[in-house]
Amino acid sequence: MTVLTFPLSRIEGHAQIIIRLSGGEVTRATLQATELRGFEYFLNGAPAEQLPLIVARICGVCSTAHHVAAVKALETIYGIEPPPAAIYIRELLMLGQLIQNQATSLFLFTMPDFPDRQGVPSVFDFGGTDTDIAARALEVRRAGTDLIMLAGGQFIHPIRAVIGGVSSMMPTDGIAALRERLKAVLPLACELFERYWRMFIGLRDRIGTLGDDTPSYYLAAVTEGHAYYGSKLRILDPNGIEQAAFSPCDYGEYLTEVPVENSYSNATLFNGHIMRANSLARLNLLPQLGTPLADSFMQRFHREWGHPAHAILLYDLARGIELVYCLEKALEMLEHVPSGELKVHYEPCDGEGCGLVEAPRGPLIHHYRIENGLVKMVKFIIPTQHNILAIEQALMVAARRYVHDDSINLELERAVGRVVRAFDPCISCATH
Amino acid sequence: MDKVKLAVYWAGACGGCDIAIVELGEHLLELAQVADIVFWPCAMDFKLADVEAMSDGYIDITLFNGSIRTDEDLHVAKLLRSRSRALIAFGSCATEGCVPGLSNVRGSDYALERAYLEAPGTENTQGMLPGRASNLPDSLHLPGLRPQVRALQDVVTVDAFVRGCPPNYEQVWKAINQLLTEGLPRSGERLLGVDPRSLCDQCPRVRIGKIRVPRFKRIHEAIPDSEQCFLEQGFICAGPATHAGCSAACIKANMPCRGCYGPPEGVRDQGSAILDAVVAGFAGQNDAAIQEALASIVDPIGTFYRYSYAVSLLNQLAEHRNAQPEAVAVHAEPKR
Repeated sequence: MTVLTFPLSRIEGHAQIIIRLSGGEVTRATLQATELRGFEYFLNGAPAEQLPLIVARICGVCSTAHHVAAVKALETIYGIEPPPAAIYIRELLMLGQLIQNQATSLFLFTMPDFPDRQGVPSVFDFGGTDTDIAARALEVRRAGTDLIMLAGGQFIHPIRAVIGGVSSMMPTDGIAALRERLKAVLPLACELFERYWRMFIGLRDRIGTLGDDTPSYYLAAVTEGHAYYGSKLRILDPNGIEQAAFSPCDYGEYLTEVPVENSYSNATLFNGHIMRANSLARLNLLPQLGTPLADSFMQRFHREWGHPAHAILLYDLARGIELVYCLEKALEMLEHVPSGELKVHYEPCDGEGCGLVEAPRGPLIHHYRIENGLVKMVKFIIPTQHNILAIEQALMVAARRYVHDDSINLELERAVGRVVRAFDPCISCATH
Repeated sequence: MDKVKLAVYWAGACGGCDIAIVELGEHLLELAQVADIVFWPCAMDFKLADVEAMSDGYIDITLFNGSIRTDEDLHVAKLLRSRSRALIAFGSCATEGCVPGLSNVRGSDYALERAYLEAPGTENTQGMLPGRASNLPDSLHLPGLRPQVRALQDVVTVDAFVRGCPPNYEQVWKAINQLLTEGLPRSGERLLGVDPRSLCDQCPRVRIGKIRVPRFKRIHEAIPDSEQCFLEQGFICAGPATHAGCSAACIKANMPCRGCYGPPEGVRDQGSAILDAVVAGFAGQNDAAIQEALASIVDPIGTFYRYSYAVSLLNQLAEHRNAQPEAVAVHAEPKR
């Protein structure tokens, strides 16, 4: 047996790809997550109300999603619904999360793969007429963190969402200032995404493929006009037909977590099937977004690749369409920030419940059991885990393309990087 | 003039510290004018093998975030120590272990069982624990978990520290500039980018200097008044025993401080310093009343040591006791 190991860079967290060959035959491709901190253990005994603050530390990239999922899980247990003004602020937080993440993934992680034959080592290495990409990319992603800062009160590990609502209103002058910034950033993001799209086509023409295009199951918690706040999980089958819709507390009936050999990350199956989550799953489940610029990109996308689309590199373009959508949506929402009650009164009680958000990588569920006001059990259903087996399947497709009986095409290493980045896995979350 | 060679590494952490550096935005481009980034796995295509190929002292400055959690973290910490002229512990995990340090209370074996065997919804019929399979070739080796989470300074010499979970990006920029223009701080606690005060000194809230509450409230039990000191309203706040640097971000969003900037200068153990400040607030009241108020605090380790358990005296004591159970048992005998 020959074992090829590919350490990964330009992703979130620690992982490597292992491809096993026997003769000239690819026998297995695995994503090995190589870190673990142990949140499922050390949260035991924590006061319930501290969870929204502590769980943000699962991930510095996705902290907002964990923060909001935590308050929602506790609200399910306490049987309360936060006031509309509080949900509004939380939705803005989620949009900030998406803008920040999609801009990072697009411009810092994947765009450097596109130019020339080799790609460039990082966003700071674009040359010629593209030297301005780094500055523009950083400006666009900064708009996302500024939105998180405004709505969440803290820029990486937000604090404003509390059980029953939010702790305070966003500062009025901050709202006005951010609106102006988003107005300036939206055309910048569109222009950058146009360039991204062109380079993406260049890459496709050079390598002659967009990767694994097996029709798949897709999982996402989205509805029209949504702001990634999540109400029900939806499943699309490989023929594009919606097959199930379920509330987060029923996840156990549909989703199973299985260990992955020699990795700190488990993987999720839907009724025993490999599935996909993240940007492409959302666009396949929601072919019309409802904001003008995003929908015009979407029409182009459908014209070119149909609906549902399956080739994995399309995840990257889907992320760009979402970036535009989130900027438009946030701008629209900042025009009409409602006033009114920010927090409902409630009596804490013991019990068990789940909270759901649509995080950048897919549906995130926090499942808690509370006894005597303290955590008895926590369980995190992590979006990256939904994609682990789909990543491995796509890696097999790539490996078979570049491994031959007598030789291995050097393109394989770059292909491995592209496949993994298309799914934008977050290993800190996946292992936690 | 030669450009400064800079490295950034993310060990056992959430990634927020790397993001805090990305947050430098336009400053990052200024930085690129004066520094060559020679290693930054999250943002650039360098691999560990590239660092292994460097000569000792090749890197001028390494910003190291994350705790020492796995064997790989330890290996990279030692490697980057030898390759770097200045090694900076960046953020709360590298400085004091942060939230993941709380797993030291029962150790990493328990963390593994909890995550892979006991969690609901998991089908693990063969009881597979990652890193514990014995029949795999070396090439599939998974880095093992260290028995205890460690701060960077507990495994290698550290030259300076950037505090915070995560460090605020303005502070990060200040710290980097300080390193580039003045070099390493030579004395004191060698903290970069922060002013030498406690959070209490920066806090805009009104304080009378006395805590007069029968019991401590949990944050969900009431909406705190936004002008008055949290402790005096009966909410535990780590402000008196926390270093300044965050610009009181949580306080301004009406949430008490949890201590992520670590202890002020001269304080060895943050948790006992918070407790000390709380007790001092009760000065003048009888012991029974103070004890009753203190007994109302739930999860004392997670409250007082949320960010610093891994470097706390308490963790040291617990480890000492586990290492020498008999010796401690003798000391624990009541004196007759």
